[in-house]
Amino acid sequence: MTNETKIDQKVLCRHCGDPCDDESIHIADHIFCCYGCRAVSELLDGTNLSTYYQETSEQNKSISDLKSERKFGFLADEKVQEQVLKYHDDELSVVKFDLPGIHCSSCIFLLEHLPKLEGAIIRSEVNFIRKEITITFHHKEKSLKDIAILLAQLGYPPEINLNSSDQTKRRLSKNQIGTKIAVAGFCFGNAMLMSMPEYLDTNFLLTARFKELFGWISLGMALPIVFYSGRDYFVSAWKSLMFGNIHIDVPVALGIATLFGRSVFEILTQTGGGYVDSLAGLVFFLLIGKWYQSKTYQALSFERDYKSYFPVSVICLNEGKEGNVLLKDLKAGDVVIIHNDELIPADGEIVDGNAIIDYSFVTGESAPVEKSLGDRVFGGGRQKGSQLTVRLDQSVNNSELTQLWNQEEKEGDGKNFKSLIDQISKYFTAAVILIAIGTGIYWQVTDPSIIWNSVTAVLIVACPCALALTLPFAHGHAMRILGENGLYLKNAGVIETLSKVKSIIFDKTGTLTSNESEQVTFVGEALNEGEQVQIASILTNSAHPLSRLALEAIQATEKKPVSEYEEVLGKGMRGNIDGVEIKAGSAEWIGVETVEVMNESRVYIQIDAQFRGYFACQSAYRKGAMDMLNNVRSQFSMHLLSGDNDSERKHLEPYFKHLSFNQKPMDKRAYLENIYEPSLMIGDGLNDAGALQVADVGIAVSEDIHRFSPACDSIISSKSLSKIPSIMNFSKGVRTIIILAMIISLLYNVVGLSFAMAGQLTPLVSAILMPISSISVVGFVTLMVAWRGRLLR
Amino acid sequence: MSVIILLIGCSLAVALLFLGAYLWAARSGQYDDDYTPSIRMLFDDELNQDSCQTPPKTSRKERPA
Repeated sequence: MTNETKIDQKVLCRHCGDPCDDESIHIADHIFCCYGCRAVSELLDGTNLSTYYQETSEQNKSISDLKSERKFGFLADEKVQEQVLKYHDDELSVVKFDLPGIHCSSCIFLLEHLPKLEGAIIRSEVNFIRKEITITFHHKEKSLKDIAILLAQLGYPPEINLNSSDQTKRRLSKNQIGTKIAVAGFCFGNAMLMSMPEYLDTNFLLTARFKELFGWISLGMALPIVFYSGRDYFVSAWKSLMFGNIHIDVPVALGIATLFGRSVFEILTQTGGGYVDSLAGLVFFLLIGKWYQSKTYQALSFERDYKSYFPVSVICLNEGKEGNVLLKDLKAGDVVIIHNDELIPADGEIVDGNAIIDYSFVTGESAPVEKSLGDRVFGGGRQKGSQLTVRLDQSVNNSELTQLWNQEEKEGDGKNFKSLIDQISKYFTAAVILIAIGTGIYWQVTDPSIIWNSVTAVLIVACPCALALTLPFAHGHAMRILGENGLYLKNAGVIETLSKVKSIIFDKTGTLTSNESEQVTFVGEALNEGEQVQIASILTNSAHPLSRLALEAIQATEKKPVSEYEEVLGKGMRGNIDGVEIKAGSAEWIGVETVEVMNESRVYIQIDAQFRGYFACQSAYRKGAMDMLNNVRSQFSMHLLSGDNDSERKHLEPYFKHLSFNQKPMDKRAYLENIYEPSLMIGDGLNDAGALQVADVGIAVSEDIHRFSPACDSIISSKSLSKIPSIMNFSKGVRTIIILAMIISLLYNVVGLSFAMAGQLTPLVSAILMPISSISVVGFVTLMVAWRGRLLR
Repeated sequence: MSVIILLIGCSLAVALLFLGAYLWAARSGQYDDDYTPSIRMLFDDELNQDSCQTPPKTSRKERPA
């Protein structure tokens, strides 16, 4: 019999109609995509909210209670509360939690109705985009810990990170650019109004008194534009000059300064209306470009280090008493208790209990390691089994495995390549200055009276507004298109680096193979329902990864009590259910012949002394992974870095030029450091973190983009991995589009320059040329990128 | 013609008012979340009338749907 735990991709949630992923929830014949949907559906079925609140069975609930109790125990600590709470007084507290589990509008419904579930909560508000919830509650009735546990029970365990100060900083800068755009837009509109008479006719109904008034108002508009909205361009131009590294902001700042200087001069001497409208327009468009490019994925984090994966606190044994200790306060000599499925925080020695430790998290090695009393264990391993007591001999930061990602990131990540626009800017700036000098010399000889007019006009018209807008709009738009296709970039600049990549380095476990969609099939005589229940009941008792996998393959409706249960580490388990002896485990344990099959692990089952068959667990390659490799193979130099042994070598050899197995995280990092051409690393876990950082572009593969990813340049949803070849082509296409757009904008500059050098640049010409060039270039870039992006689908 | 001065004064005042209104809205966080409120307004208040403030903690069995 085959057990189908895997859900067809096209199964739709009963409530919201969204497609359900692998983690969907089954209740009777209904399938839901998330807890919110299930809850709301139950509501609609006519029950009151309380049914949902207590949906789990008595026994399960108490277990999960205990777990959450441990997990969030640290929230009782006052120091922690101070950091987590946004506000608190004698009565009320306000807390903001990250809830990666928020999925659809039903989740919002459920979470915003928390006050109905829990009287102590006064108000709860969800920010869907950020996947955050803000809860106001009476902390005398319910503690912060209780609130966190309540959320965890509802299926939204809060993710608490004590050093999340960077987020507020990011938000602040986003707000600032909005304000700057608002000010610039205000000045732009009003300056144009003031300049309108100038456009029409210099003598149009205007007496000198009005001219003067309009001039002064325009000047008033120019001040905030230059000194507030446009300030960043001066700062960045100054910095770039200091470092001798000319980029696009230098000619921009030069243009702004000249426009401003000449306008002030004309208005003060009453020789003309000035160019304040062009100045305001320039800054306004530039800022919009900046804002468009800086829009990033707010709910994703690209900066996580190992600390985000570790628990915030662990349970420490101090003079026979258990207590929560914050991770950063742990020191060598502390004795900590590790429960099933918890991470070992630092290196140490086992003082009590047996361990089955899964290091796949840090080393990429997928097989768990067994350890017993007195053995050394390393920080970052995950315990799979019973309770474990460990005496630490290192603090968290000094642990052998975690040290790898404590290494400071190399200076100026991704700066190995100068962007196209910066390469051009150097020549552009030089050319502009030469032309300005040339014009000056020419008019000095022929007609010195208009020398300043024409020189400033050259500097004004050369201001690379269209050029400066090309990149933000092309990259910003390309980034959105990639986002729609499942690749989420940290910033838009990654696209350009991506287009230069020459070699691609793949990790195997978790990247080419899938962690979760392991195919589990039962081989042997089909099991009847009673037998399935029996097997499920016994497998529940074991924390071994294979037992868990097999358990998932069984659809058992209930669990029965097990008597005379016994588990032998590394062999299997036995127990009596309804007087029938059930054995599950290795071939040796059951007493049948051992067969080694590549890429497959087995759990043998014996019922009532009779061999019934085995569960075959295969680690499967991702759908389309091989086709993808085939497609990129011819264009790039291909490397494989695997933490596993080389049992798969034959399988993979045709696709890769260089294959390396048994690679420790350190080796992977070193390997990447020795690749001198532009490299793209595609990996998943923390074991690839070092390599992802060293690579020019690091893409982390993730089943759930909101939940898990090491520090990287971009995150790709595992479903989109097969799109890598077309994504690479797309990035190259975007580069071509940018080059085309640059040529167009340079042509505009040439046209403008011919006006300027002839001394013909009136405010009207400038006011028309500037917006037209900017809008046409932006339009061209956006349309072309959108058109190219359609090929991705 | 001097009415133009008055008109310009008025238009600038109105424009400044709107600029101020935007800045206030942005500072007070009204643009922080542009998605959730659109969903929140669709929630029906009636549903909550019959739900209880403190749920009874008796039956915990899964309700067959």
